[in-house]
Amino acid sequence: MSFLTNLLFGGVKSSADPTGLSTESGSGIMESNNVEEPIVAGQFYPRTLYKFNGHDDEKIFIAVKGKVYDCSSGRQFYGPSGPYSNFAGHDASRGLALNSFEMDCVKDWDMPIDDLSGLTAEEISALNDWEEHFQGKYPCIGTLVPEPGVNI
Amino acid sequence: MGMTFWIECLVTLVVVFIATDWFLTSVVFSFKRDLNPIALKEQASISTVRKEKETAHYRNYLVPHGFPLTTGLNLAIGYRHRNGNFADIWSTAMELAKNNSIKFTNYDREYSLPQINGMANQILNMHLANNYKQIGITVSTSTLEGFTISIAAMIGSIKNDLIPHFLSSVPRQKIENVDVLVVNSWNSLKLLNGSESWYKLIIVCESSAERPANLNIDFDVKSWDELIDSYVEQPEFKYTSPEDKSDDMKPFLQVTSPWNDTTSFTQMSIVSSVAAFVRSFPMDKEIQPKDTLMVVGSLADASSSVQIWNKMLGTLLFGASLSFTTKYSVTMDQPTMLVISKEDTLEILKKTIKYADNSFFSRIKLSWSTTLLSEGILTNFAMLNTSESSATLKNLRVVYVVSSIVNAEVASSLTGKIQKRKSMSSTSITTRDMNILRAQLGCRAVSELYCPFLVMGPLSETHYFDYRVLPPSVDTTVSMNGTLATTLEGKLVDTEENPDLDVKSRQGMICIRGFSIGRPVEQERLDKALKLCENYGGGEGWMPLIGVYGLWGNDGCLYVYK
Repeated sequence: MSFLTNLLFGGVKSSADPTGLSTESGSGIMESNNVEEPIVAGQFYPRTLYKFNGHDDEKIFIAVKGKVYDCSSGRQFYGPSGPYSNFAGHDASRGLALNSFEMDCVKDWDMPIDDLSGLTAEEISALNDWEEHFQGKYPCIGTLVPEPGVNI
Repeated sequence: MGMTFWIECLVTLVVVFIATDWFLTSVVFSFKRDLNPIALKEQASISTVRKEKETAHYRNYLVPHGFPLTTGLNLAIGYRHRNGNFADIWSTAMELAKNNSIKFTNYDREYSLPQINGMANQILNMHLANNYKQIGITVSTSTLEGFTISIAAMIGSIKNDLIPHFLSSVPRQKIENVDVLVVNSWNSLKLLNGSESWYKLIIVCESSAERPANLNIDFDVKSWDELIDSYVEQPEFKYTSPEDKSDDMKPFLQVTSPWNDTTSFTQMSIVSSVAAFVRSFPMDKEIQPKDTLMVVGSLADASSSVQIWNKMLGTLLFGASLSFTTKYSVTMDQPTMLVISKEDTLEILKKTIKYADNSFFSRIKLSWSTTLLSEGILTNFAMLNTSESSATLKNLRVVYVVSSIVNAEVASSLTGKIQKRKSMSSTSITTRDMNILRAQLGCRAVSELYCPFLVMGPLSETHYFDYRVLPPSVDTTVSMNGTLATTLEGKLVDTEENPDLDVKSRQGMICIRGFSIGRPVEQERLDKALKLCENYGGGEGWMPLIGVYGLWGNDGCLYVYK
């Protein structure tokens, strides 16, 4: 109904239904409507993690010691053009342990998951500190597991 | 004049009609609306990730993810901040208490804050400083006595380790640690029926002169006039603030529900709740010293007042005034802000018909006003215009319509037994009713949802400028409750008992976490709460509201099933 019609005949403008209930079949179940669906937390493969690099997908996920953290709120650090952008969408464990932001420290999605071998006790201690930092600052949203046929 | 002429006229009329409609809605209204409709479609910050069997986490858009929820008053201590406590609020309120006052239901005169402060400090220092643990208050805060003793006990929560304990009624069984009881009259004292021995002191909020002659008392009783005998006004509240955040977890008050569940709230609960109330005002609409907040009816009852202390203290924090009334009427002296229950609002909507002249023109004005409101434009040309109310209704700028979750007893008892959702028979206010209220009172109206005895302040509230009208089929199924308070974040979880609610469609049982949630006092309830938290919240501090089902709209607002 147009505004003038409402004005003349005493109606009001109903807003677009934000709940989806008006399109249902009376069962009380809402049809899924067009909002961006959140990612379901759970298991990530290096391949499925890769796209959350802040560039291909706005969200930024980073794996540290087998756990995946949602670092979207730290976009200034991990997002495109940020100092740690290489870590976005990857397993950042070795880079954090070595305090190196080089791509050499970050494995591609089609390579085996880094078992962190060869790290010294000091480097592992540094990595544990980083893990604590991530746990305190970003929500943990899942785990990083190898994909059969790709990473193992 | 031939057929062609009439067709030309008709086409011209249709074209003019469509062009005018487009011009008004697309050009003129965009300058007149309080808020762009796009802002109303994006009212929440939504987490990008959700767990299986849960929805994403929703917050008020004022506290986006990555930023902390509202935790308090952000008071500076050097380079750091602390959240503050009740004494910080009260000392600031006293500093700004220049021309404000409080009008109670049981006295015709108004009381200044220095008078209240003088009485409260005298009561605390001379009568309640005797190693008492908790002051059981059954008297309404809408009375001078109830309000002042509550303030005295709240000051005691900082200075003397005393805790106000708000009670729904005079206890029928002993409540641990309550060693002072405040009752409203000598008659109530007579009805204690032996339970007076549970207390070290009983305060009667009547004067000694009204004491019945045949009343034999062999226990410690003080009357109101004894408490405030020769008190002096104190325009200043002396208090040394701490250097750290140690006050955050200090107890502030306890409340016992009518079904005997006791919940404790910390200093952080009240300061975060006050800060959330203050933050809820849009720019240029903030609380001013000229404002008056009126609290109506049973909302000021001792146990219910836990929900509105944040509003009362937030108002005093800006040097504004308070008033209480038992019954609201459009013909009385109007405040600028009104807090009223859903039930009383429905009464107003019925009664205003009496005050309106009900003429054809009045009905046309009301119809036009509600049409404009649904387009996002608030006007006051349909405001009630009786001889008594025409001058004063213009003062009113916002009405808070308060409703509680329908199954508050189940939610606060934390039984853990989840039942199948069923429609509860409860009177409700639709979005159309809210617009009629806005049109007839000529002011904004905010709908607030409360979870009594579990959460201090509102669970959620609609936006100050949200005048949307939902389709009737939606209005009858759910109530629009706006976004969560900025002290809280929420999610909806899947329950086996309600397979028709699908978390993928953002439906389920409500879980909340944040700083305005109380902690069960009884060990049994606390254990149940922790178990519930583990079962439904994943053990991350989430408190499920048992039996409260809702859905997140794609505007980010909470819609609760009726």
